[in-house]
Amino acid sequence: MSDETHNSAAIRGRVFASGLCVRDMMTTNVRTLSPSDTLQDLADLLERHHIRHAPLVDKQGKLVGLVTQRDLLLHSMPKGKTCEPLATKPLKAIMQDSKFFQVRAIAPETSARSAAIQMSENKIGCLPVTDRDGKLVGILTEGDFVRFFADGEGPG
Amino acid sequence: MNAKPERFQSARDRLSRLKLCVRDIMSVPVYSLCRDDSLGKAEQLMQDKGVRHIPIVDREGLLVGLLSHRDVLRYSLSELSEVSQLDRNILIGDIPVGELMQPEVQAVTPDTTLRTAAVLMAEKKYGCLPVTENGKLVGIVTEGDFLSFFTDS
Repeated sequence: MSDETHNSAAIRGRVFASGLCVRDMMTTNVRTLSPSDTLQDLADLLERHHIRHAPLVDKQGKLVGLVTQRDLLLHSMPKGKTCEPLATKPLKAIMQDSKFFQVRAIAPETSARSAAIQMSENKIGCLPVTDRDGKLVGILTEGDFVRFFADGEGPG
Repeated sequence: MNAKPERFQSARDRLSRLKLCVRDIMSVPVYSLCRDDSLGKAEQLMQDKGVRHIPIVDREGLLVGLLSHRDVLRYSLSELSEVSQLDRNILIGDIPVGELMQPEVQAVTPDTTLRTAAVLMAEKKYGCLPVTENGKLVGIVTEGDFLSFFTDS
């Protein structure tokens, strides 16, 4: 059995033959913010829910950006003299700088493996998931992959 | 839509038959620091290696704490948000990581099942689990290691 356990490539292939897709793994209860919310709102949200990413949506629920813990750290650091107060700086002001602003969202039908490869190649911890109208329907984070291993029956 | 639980469950079932352990996915070597190392050094290490967690060890290599990116962020926001970049660098250069680290750390061993590790991380919201053998740090399991399982095949 232990030989088989370590014969990883073949075994891993079998696990994914089932065609798991993003819809099967994504988090649907997403904490979102609006572009007019402030950096302080972002700091509070991330701390309160112990999360690292917040998609930004407009009034119709369409995805317009994504801000992260890393953005918060970057923009809360003073540049040169003194730092702008967090409480007043709106997220739309930092959105363009965020590398996540460029990342396109994925569809719920994308395979889990392909999403995992995108995350790992681009070194991003979160992919927003949108429907055909650009409406946010979920996010896929590294934590969702951990939960896949935690869910279900059996000791494995 | 109805296919979701079924697909998910059958993949899960195949996975549990593999009886995977922490040693099968853990990251080795692990970047660690000592209590006396500075916060500046820790930030540099996090940036250079692209890691969010640094286990803190004593001179014998025994695990004594964990410093996360979140700890650094929390400190920066509460204590340093009003100071200049220059002052910040000076301050950070002086603070030993031992003062900011979390001293109570949940660790696992290489033989811990992957499911047990995943349940710990998911339920307690741990971003990583240091891996120890007889108290000595031998590796680390992060969320990214679970992701890698999906990409390497």
